[in-house]
Amino acid sequence: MNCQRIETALLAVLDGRATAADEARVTEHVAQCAACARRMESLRETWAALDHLPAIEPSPLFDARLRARLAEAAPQPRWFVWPLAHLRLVALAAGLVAATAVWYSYRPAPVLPTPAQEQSQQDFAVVKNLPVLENYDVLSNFDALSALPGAQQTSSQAQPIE
Amino acid sequence: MSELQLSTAPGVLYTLNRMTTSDVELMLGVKAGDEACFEELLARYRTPLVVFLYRMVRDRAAAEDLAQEAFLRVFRARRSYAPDAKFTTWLFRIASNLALNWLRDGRRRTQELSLDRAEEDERPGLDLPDAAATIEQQMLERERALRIREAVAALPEKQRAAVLLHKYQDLGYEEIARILGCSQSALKSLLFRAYETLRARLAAEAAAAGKGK
Repeated sequence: MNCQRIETALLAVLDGRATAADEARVTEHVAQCAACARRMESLRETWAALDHLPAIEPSPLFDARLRARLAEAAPQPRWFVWPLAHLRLVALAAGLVAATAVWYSYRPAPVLPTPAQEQSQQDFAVVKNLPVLENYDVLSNFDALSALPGAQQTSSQAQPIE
Repeated sequence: MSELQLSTAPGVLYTLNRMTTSDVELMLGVKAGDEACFEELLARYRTPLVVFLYRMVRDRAAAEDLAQEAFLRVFRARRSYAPDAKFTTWLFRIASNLALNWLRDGRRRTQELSLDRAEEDERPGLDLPDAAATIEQQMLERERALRIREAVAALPEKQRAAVLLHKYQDLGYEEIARILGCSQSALKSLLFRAYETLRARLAAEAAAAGKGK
């Protein structure tokens, strides 16, 4: 292992992630190379010195501020939120309304009889009842029936309709 | 997590939850509308995220603002969450992008003016036996911390992000490469250059400090 290739292995030895084989190669190399041995030692010192880098604690208000921001970020209930979230349902409802409107506007209108048709219907009613009227006239004026026995009495009892 | 609520000791309950529920499970809980899962994720990553962002942007208010924005984005994106990557990869990718954009947007003008001003409540990266330390030791430690802070701050932004994720977040090369959007070999090269720069700078500063005394 040469001086350049040892760099990444040195790093792994430093942070304790080197494999046993890598560690053995580094140990072997630094035993033969005074420059790398010095560099290794110096890096170990730097690594240890970094333990002294100052830190801070989060302020007591950290959580309260975070909760306030979370509350601000929470979605507010708005009238357009539900329709936006359920676009398919809204589109379906709109389609149904439109279809109903179209059907209503094009449906066949009820046919009202014209005055002439009304007159015609009345005339037809009269014509339709003609046989009944004719039968009544025939029966009420049928003199031959009065000659039958007992008809005198019956006819006197039956009063013609005025 | 309901079976763990049988415990009467709140501390034990909390520890068990942390141990038994993975980040992905918690995020799936958030996706299902469980607010307690989001609280647990917040408890796990609030401090690491704020510290990472503070070390990136060197401004407490901005770091907290960006950390809140990162959590906000996680919450907003909960419904589309798919557990195809580690939660930390996703969270730190959001945070890194926010920090890099913040730095590139030129909002560091005021921060650069206060380059040598430490936050009053900064704590040392390493826990020291404060009671036993003399005033001189404390001063030396503070001076050393300041030198390290400035050496890290002077790194190019992407190198800084790589070092902070590698050294302090205990993330693997593959995960860091995903966060920063580069290949693993490019990341290793980036990290090696960054550590070499830090080594050279700290050695030069230590030599200068030695001469000054």
